[in-house]
Amino acid sequence: MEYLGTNSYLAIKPEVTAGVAVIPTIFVPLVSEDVKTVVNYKADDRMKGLDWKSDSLLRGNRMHEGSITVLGDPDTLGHLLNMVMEKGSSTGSAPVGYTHPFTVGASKTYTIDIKKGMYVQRYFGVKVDELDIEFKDNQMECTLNIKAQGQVSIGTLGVALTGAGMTSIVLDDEYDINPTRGLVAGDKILVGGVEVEITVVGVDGVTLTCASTAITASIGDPISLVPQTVSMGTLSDPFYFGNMIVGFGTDIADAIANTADRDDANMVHEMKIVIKNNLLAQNGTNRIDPYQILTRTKEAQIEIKQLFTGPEQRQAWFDRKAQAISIVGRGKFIKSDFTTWELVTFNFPNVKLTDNDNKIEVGEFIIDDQKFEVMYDAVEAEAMSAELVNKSAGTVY
Amino acid sequence: MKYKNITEQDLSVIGVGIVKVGQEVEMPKGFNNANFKIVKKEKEVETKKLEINKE
Repeated sequence: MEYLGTNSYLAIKPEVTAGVAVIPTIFVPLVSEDVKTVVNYKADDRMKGLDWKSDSLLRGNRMHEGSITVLGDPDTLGHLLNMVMEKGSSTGSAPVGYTHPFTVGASKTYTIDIKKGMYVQRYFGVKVDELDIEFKDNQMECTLNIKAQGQVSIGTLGVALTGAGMTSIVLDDEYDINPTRGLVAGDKILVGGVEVEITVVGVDGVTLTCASTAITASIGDPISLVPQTVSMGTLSDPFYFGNMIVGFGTDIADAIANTADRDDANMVHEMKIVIKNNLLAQNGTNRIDPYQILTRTKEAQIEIKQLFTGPEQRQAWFDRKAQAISIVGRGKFIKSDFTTWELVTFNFPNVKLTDNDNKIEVGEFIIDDQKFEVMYDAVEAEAMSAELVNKSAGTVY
Repeated sequence: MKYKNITEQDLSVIGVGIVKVGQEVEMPKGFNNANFKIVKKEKEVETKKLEINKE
C-alpha cells in the first residue's frame, strides 16, 4: 500500500517535564519537514579473518534533528515562540483575546508527532535551535530547526504473543535498552495486525501493559505507533506581510511610535527574523540518545531589504550606530465589536548593521540590502521581546 | 463508540464534522484522538461503583 504525504500531520504539545513525552493534542498544518534520527552506525571492521570489510554494524551515539516548516498563524506562532523564548503570564479572555508576553529566557520542551503513512514518528524533549520567520507569497512562514532527546515510532516484539488473555507486550532491545521510552499510557500501538491501547508503560523500559487481548504475534514482529485522527480548532490565517509594519527609531519608544502610523513606518519589501538558541545536544553516559539538550548563547539577526532613499543607513553601518526596530503584525479581529485583533509585536531596542549592500543592476532600483545583529540593550536591559495576542488561552502553552 | 470533546474549543474532526466543547459524538471505528474521551455507558459506571462499594 502506498501512502501520500498530504495525509500526514504535525501534532505538538508542551511537556510538563522536559524530555518526558506527552501525547500531542495540538494539530498544526504542516508545510514540510525533514527531521531525522541520525543513528551513526559504523561498519564493524575488526579483523575476523575475513577478506571483506565488515559483517555487521556497531552503534554510535544517536542524534535527532532537522527542520519543520509551518505557516505563522497567531495560535501556532505562540507555540513557536514558546519553544524559543520564555513566556510570561498570559492575560485576557476568549471574547477579547489573550495576550502572551515573551522574553529571552528558558523555553519549553515539546513532544511532536509526525504521521508518516501508517505509523507515527514521535520526537520528545524537542527544543528549537533556530527559529526563522520570513514571508513567502505574502504569508508568514516559520522554519524550526529542532533537536530532540529521543524518538519512538517502530519497535520490535521481544516476547511472542500467544492468543487469548495477553496483557503484556514486551519489546526487544535491538534499538535501545529502553525501547518503550517516549510511549505514553493512552497511546495506541499496532501489534500483530491488532490495535491496542497502552494502559501502563512499565518502569523496566521494555514492557507495555494493555487490556486483555487475543493477539497472536511472533518474536521480531514490528510494533508501530498508530496515528491519531486529526482534530483542529478554527484555524486563523497566517500573518500577512502586507499587514506588517516596521518602525525604525533612535530608541525603542521612537521605533514603536513609528509603527503607529503607516506613513511613519519604513516600507520594507523583504524581511527575515532569525532567533537562535545555539543548542548543545549532549551525548554521554546514561543514554545512547542525547541525555540533555542545553541552551548556549542566545542571539538574533534581522534581514531587511528596503529602497535606498538616503545615506542614513549606510552611515549607520559604517559608524556601527545603534538603531531600534519594532515590528508589528496585525491579524483578524477577535472582539465582536472589532476593537481587539490578533497581533504580534517584536521589539529590538538595539540593532546594528553588519551588512548594508547597495547593489546596482540595469533598470532596477537601488536597495539597502541589510543584515542587522541584535544587540543587548543596556537601557532596556534586554536584547529583544515579543508579544502575541491571539485566541489561545495561556494554559495551552 | 461515543466520544466526548474534552478540550475547551470546538474541534473539526476529519470525516466527522465539527464537535462542540463537551459534545458527545458517535465516532467511526478506529477513531483515535487524545482530545476526546470514551463515554462509558451508564451500566459500566454502575458496575464500577458497585465494585468499589464492595471493596
